Amino acid sequence: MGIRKYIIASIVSIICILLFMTISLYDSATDPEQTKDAYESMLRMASLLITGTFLIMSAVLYAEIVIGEYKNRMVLIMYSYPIKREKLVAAKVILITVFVGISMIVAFIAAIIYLHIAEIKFDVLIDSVNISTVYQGLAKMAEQLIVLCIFSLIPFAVGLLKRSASLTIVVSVILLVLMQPIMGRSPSVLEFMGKVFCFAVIAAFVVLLAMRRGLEIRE
Amino acid sequence: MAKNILECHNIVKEYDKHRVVDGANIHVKEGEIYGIVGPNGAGKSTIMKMILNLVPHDSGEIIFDGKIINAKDYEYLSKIGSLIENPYFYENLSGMDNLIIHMEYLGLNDVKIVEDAMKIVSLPLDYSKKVSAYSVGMKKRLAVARAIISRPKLLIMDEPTSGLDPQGMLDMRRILRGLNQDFGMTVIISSHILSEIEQIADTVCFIKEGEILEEIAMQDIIEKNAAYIELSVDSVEKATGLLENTLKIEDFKVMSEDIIRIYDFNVEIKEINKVFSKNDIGVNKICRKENNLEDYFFLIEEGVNCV
Repeated sequence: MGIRKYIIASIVSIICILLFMTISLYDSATDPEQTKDAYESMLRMASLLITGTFLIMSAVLYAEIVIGEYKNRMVLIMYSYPIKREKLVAAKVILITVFVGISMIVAFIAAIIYLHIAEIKFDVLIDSVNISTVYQGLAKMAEQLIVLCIFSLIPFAVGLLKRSASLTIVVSVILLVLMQPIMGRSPSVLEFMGKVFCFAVIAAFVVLLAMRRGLEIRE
Repeated sequence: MAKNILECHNIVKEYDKHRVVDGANIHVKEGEIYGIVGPNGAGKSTIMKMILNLVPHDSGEIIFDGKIINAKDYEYLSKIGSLIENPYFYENLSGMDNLIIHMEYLGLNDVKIVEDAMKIVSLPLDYSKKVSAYSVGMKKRLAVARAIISRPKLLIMDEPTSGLDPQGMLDMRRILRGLNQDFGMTVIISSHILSEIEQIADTVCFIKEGEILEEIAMQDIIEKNAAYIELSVDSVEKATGLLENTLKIEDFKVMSEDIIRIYDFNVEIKEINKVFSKNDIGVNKICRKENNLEDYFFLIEEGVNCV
């Protein structure tokens, strides 16, 4: 149902992210007062843009596909099916997470390929690229994928509890702003795992609360 | 005698300490058309939502098809088709596509089922016209088609004729009667329009401010309250005195400054006439009248003994 518009939105987002990276690369490569960008810093910029974009996109999807059904009363139909309500909502959450996750993977792969091609063809980075930089990019992608999957559940749960589409998006923006200071620029694996675990616990708590209290039909 | 497919015993629902359904008792026989009638805000939709577990009941018991329904139950919903509040659809999809999605949610996988449902409600098998372009009447019929896809035992229709023109109302009644007679579906229909229920229901349940006033077979209404005697007199005061003291009639009601209705049929019209003329009361008109559902509702609402 209307998945085409979300696919188009993802593609447009990825193109915009690549354009932003192009401007940054072009600026630092052509301005004599600046030094060229390092691969790591460009990767960090790309990951921030990609995670931020898709965190907000997931919030929009939750607002439209889950919370919107309460607003437009389609939930009266959904809940009259012989299907457990928790299963219905969980299926939608999984579907949205998978869709956003795939979009994010595509975005990361596009960004990594783009950086490598740009460096090989135009020498726009201060360092050279090789197979280890590809792995470095893929590792960043895996890390951000975990962060997105966990973080995106918090706006969904808050939005469902409050039955507010706008609150879902606002919470995702707040998380996006807080994400960088909380997660740190280059955390160690242990530090990253610890922080992710803490957020996973918080996300699990709010999701459980939303599943217990947020599924009823309010008059 | 048909068994009850649905029973509600003393069900209660409160919203913010306001009791919207207060100890409702409902008994729906298999194969009948059961009408719930009452003014807006009486609790009709809430009762239907409680039956469907869309809202949980605070207390009481709902038994469907011999089994007690608990707040977390959902399997029984495969045997119930419903239209609650308004016909909600994915407006950007066609009617057929909406029904196909519904069919898939029900675990069915045969487009012919959808086509059959569309034919029953006389809608075209159109994949191109979006629901947003449908008229109210078409949406209502589409909602009925959606409700009958799984060929349910029980059909719950919340004000299915509201917003329809007279022809639309007629069509809807014909569709529901057809589903009841041809497919043996039990139908629960709610309306605030008494004449609507009168024309279709086998059993009527009157509800007001969350309380069930009476649950009665339509046939019983016809038999027990088929008529009343209406008098037009020139002195209501004197006439009521005579009715009470001389004719010993207590079951009557003063309708206006010259009209009295008598609901007691133990007395003959000629007897009333005789007493009134003997006491110099001018009788302008005296006749037996048919009692319709609307009259009956107002009688039970005001507590007049109709039985």
